[in-house]
Amino acid sequence: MVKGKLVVRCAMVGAAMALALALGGCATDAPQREDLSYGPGEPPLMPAPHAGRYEGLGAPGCYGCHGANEVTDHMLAAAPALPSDHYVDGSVETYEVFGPRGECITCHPQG
Amino acid sequence: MELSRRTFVKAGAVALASAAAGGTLGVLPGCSPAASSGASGVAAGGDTVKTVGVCRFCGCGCGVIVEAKDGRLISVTGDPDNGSSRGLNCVKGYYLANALYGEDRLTKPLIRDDKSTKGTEGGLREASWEEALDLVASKLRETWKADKSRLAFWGSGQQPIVEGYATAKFWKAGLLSNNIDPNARLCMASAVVGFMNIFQTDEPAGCYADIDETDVFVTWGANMAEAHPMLYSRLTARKLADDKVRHYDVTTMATRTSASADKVLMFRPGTDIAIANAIANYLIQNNLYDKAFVEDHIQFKQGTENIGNSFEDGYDASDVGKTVDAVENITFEQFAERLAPYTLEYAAELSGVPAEDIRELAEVFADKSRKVLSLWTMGVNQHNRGTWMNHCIYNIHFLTGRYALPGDGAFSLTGQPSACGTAREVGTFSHRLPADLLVAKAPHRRYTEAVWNLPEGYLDAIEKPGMHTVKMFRELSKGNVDFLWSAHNNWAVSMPNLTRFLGRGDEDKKGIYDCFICVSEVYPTLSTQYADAVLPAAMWVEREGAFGNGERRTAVFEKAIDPPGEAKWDLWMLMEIAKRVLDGEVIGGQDAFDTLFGQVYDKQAADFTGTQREVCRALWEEYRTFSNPQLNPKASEINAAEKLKMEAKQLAPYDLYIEDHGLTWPVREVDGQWLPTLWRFCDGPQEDGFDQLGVAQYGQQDKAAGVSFYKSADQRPSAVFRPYEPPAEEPSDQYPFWLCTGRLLEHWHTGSMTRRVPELHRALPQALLDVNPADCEQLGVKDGDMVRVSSRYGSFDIQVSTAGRTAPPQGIVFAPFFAEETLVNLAVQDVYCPLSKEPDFKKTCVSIRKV
Ligand code: SF4
Repeated sequence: MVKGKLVVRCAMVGAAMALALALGGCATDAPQREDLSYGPGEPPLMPAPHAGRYEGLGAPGCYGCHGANEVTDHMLAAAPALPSDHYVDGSVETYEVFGPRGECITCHPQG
Repeated sequence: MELSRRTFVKAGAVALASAAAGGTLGVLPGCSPAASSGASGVAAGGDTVKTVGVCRFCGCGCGVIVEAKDGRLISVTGDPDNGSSRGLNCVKGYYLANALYGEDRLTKPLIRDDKSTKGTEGGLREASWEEALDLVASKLRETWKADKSRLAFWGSGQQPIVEGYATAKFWKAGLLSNNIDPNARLCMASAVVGFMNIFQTDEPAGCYADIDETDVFVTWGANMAEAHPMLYSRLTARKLADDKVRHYDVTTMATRTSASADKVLMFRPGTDIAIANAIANYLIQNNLYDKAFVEDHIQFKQGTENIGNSFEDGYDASDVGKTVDAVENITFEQFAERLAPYTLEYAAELSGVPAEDIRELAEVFADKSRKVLSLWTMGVNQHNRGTWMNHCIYNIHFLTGRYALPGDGAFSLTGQPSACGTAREVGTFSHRLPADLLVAKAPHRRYTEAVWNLPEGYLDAIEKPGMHTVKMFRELSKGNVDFLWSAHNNWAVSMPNLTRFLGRGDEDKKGIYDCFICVSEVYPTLSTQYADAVLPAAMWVEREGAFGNGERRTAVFEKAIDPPGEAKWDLWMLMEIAKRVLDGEVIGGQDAFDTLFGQVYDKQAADFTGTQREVCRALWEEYRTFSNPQLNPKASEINAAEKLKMEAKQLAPYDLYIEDHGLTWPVREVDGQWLPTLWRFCDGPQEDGFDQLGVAQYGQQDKAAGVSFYKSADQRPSAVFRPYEPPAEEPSDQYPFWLCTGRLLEHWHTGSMTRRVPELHRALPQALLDVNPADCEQLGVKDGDMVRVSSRYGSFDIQVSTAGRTAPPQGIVFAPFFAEETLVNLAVQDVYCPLSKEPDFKKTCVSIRKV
């Protein structure tokens, strides 16, 4: 279990974001794991605690911070942006996640 | 900007298949920082070796590309050229390389001198291979000579194909024993018995591409998001690709799989048969069934009913236990009559699912303008009426003409990477021989003797099936098994009723202490704590092997690196033990060992006669003869005389499986080309994946829907009426909750490999008991509290969670079984489906109290 109280400080973008953030997780000053390193092809883990987030919100909860819209390609300064190959046609401008990428935790577990 | 759900979920209009064809999925694995930045960590000089592989873990059977450098794996990425996964993996696959590098890999044989140390972490000492092999072989030979009913091998749906084949050959032809069974008995047996009863062939007709083609998904007792992650990604991708695609989740609890469902039909445990029967009844009563399909293809039956439950050890031999397989033909009208009591209202009353929702699902099946795909896993199979529930799902598909058609079918998903390829196809079950053949049938024994070059009649000694898995462990616990060898499994965590099987409630611990137990393993596990000898095994790509996945796809994983220390290929262990046990024995006047294995093993040299590739190829070619009778004149004669249709499951030459990154059988030779089959029994061009040659050879081409079930008796699969009968135990004052157990995404089965991967362990470090918040309130417990879960079988302690991966309704709790420190199976019942002998892991009645 990932423990520790989360401090949420995120710029809120729209109603869905507010819902997404209510469950915590995408915190700029939440404790981050610094010791994560990856081999080739290993999808990044979630370095900040996101306990219960996916369970509660599903993929929109991830997209809320890591996904793109017309304003920005991700919504929080500290949230890594989804790479373009996660979007339809490999293009961020579609603002639509490529179908087989829709289940975020299938590849990106809690770090 | 408002971020709407629609914006997010709107389809990637690019279908998975076309993306793969266009190479888009070729970049799927490359989402790590290293890969995307181009700094892959691979030396530019290219001194790495890339090999083709298939994931070690679940039944999805994802293809992987394995990269090694300096004798160590450096990456495992999705293989875009594998037709099952097309570049997709889940987190277990991506982090698979790390599973080989736990600090405590077993690298030397171990022996236990003092049996009283069993069940502790101590007591094992290092030994030489010579000493360990001599000991294991002498115990096996001693038992074999004294009373061969007291020896057993417990194998696995994770055992690679050629090893499974060689093990079955040694056990069945070498020892003339049927006391061999795989852990697939715990996950697939109900599906297998269903297939055999209904189709007389053990195989799904469809393939994973059905997921990309269907319009409506119906998941029955299947938490694919956790247990079949790659296939669930394909399911959600299909949903995202078309707003009109629908998903109905028929389940006892909300799971991550329910999240993609448009409607969740949450039923009271065990009542799924009533729901399925109500749908079938609705279709008939309202004249919504496909008359042409029924007329052309289906025969109707009913079987023994009121079959009770297998609480007692003597159940199989009881009056009712002996008759559970009996069926008789009935007319369609009689079938309809049997279903008539299953009104929507009756099913609603039993199941708790609103009648309107059941009717809606029935209408979905009735609507022939849309394709419907049923998918199911352990909720259906691990069921006290698991075989019956398999029947009931097929009944609906038969009535609506939805079977063996692209996107329109019923698909039983397998749990393990080679449950199909090994456990089922090469015959490591106690009643089977390779290629669907049965020990009980004389022509099947004759055919096997021909392929194995045994004297005619030699296998008559194994006419009677041996001990199935639960019987094996029940007998062991009573002191009736003197020798057990287990490989590719961790029975001390995965078996039900462990309180009994580990002798925890038993003062003298007779069975488990007295039996000589040999465990082949890669890491110390709870099973090795009960072993008298531990044989350190090469893991996954430390040797060459092959798996057969849930869609009939056989795929090879090449050897990429050497095993650590003195760890050895399981096949070498088998050869060395077989050579010792069979020393001085003859078959038909010839040396027994050489008759069975002389083509691949030189017993004097204590080594194989060729490289691993050559050995695998040689054993494969021998096994392939079962499905290519033309390769053996005597077998060919028996095949023709007995109408065995052995070519119906034709396999290709070994090397093609590497070149083509896996092939789905039957693989047909056309003008020197080997063409796989995706849609079995469905007529159409072979080059497009249809079963053109099979239908042309054995079937009929002018039947409804263009399908022909040529392997079934009279070319007609059976719709068998099965009534609702209640669960083995219902909640009571003493045990008021149902306990359900299963897998979660990050951990494979008992966690012996995935818990040694830091990334996976951190993500899911402990097993939690998911409890409904209202039940928590009633019990006076909250998140994080420890509770004791007790059944009439045993108890375990576990922490409570109301925010876990599953959200059970009141009265049901869920706990995964991966954590040996929690050991949920101490309390799980070993009651099994009377037909398939598969235990019901989903419905143990328990009490819960705070500790
Ligand atoms: S565990 Fe299953 S879904 Fe995940 S990569 Fe392996 S085979 Fe694929």
